[in-house]
Amino acid sequence: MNSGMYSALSGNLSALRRLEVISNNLANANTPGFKGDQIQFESVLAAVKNPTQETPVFSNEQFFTDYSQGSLQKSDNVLDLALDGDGFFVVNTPQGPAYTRQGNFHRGAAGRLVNADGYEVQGKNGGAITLSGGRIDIGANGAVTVDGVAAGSIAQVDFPKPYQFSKVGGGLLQPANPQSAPTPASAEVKQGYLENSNVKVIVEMARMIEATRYFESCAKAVRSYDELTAKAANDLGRV
Amino acid sequence: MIRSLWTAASGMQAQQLNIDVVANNLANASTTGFKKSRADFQDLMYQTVKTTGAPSTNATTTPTGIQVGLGVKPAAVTKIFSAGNITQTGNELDLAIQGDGFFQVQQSDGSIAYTRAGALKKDGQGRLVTSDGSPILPEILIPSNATRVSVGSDGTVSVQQAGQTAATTVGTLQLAAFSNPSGLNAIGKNLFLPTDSSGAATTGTAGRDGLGTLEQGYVEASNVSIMEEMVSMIVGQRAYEINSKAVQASDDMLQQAASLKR
Repeated sequence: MNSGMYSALSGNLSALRRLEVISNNLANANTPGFKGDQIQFESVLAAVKNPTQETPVFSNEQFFTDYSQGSLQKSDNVLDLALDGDGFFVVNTPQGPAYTRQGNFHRGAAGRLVNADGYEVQGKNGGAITLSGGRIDIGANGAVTVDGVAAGSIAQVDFPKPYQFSKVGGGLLQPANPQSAPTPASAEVKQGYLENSNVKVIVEMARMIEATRYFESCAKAVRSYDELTAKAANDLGRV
Repeated sequence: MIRSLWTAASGMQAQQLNIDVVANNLANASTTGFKKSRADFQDLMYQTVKTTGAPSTNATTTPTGIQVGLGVKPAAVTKIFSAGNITQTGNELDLAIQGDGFFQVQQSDGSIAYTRAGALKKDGQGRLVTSDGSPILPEILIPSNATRVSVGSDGTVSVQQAGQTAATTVGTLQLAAFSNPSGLNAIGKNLFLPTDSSGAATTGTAGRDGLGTLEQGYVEASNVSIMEEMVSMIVGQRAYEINSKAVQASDDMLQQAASLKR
């Protein structure tokens, strides 16, 4: 059959995947600490040079997550923390430590500092942070004082760049290579602030238009091939 | 059928919740002692198409994989217990708590609920009650011949009775505190019930052990800031709209795909 048809079809499939990534970014445009994903496509030039090979023209997907900092928004909550600079909070999940920049923490049943899913936020000594008392102050270095008494320090770590994480949902990240060791971070902890999602809605809308139009043109190409084949099958043989 | 359709739908659902919360905050913008809420979101799970760090050849690994996210979910609706404006009313039974603490309210089923709405009243027996008629604990009886009621900053209630020059103390209001007020369960009517997350109430005298002081003739207004809520509403509505566009785009693609076959 016609190899061009499959090349065009591969374009359709990649446009679809692009839209999926864009939709996820848009759905999380208001999720604190969310980092947007991007997908780009490289044409496989070999296939263009050698058109007899039936390889899709668009297959080499480049996927990356934009780890740039979102804007900081003031909130009135004492347990809302944002990181200003590079770094991550550490959260103890049943699957081991996970890393996050989503700092809307809460006080759990035993007074422990937990994230929205109830996972404990790790202190600098590896344990949890217990808050028993009224007034909570958290300094720029993560030091926690409750009613003026020191109550541990919130751990914040960084990783060598470029970051290689896999997202596990719930705002949490896990390093793709389990062996990679976290390094101390120098980010500033800001109490009473939340980091907004770094998704730029206008850019995503433009990408969405691009993806839909691209899909449309690929679909047109598939249809043209179909017409050509129909002509070849039905009209060419007619005497 | 197509992931982005559901992903965008989850975004619309989340923004709807966001607007629900904002609408409730706005509806209670002038409710005495009301505490605003905020919806918090989290990203949903991810589908891994290509694993990060997987070997691409014998010697190299892929620097980044492909993970397609499946949308957003509401993680929490957090009550924010920042102080509301203390407004002057001049009414002698209006009490505001300046600082932490809650009034204790005896409910009809015997359990104790907690409130910061201090617009108190007197009932037929002379008890101090909330606007619903539920008595405040510890129970305080105002004699029927009392001409003036005064409440000290530590909760001491004293009355001036007709024909007497000295004031008589009739009781002391106590306040309750929680280690985690955000974990309280709101049951409407400005009342909260304790949960495992909030911890049990500890009662004490106003002005001591971190508890706030009482101000007579003032009430605590709602801590909702109309301007902030309006901005949240704009953000929520636009985010909803944008997610609906993603639904439309997915639909367009599906339509195109369907029309491939003539």
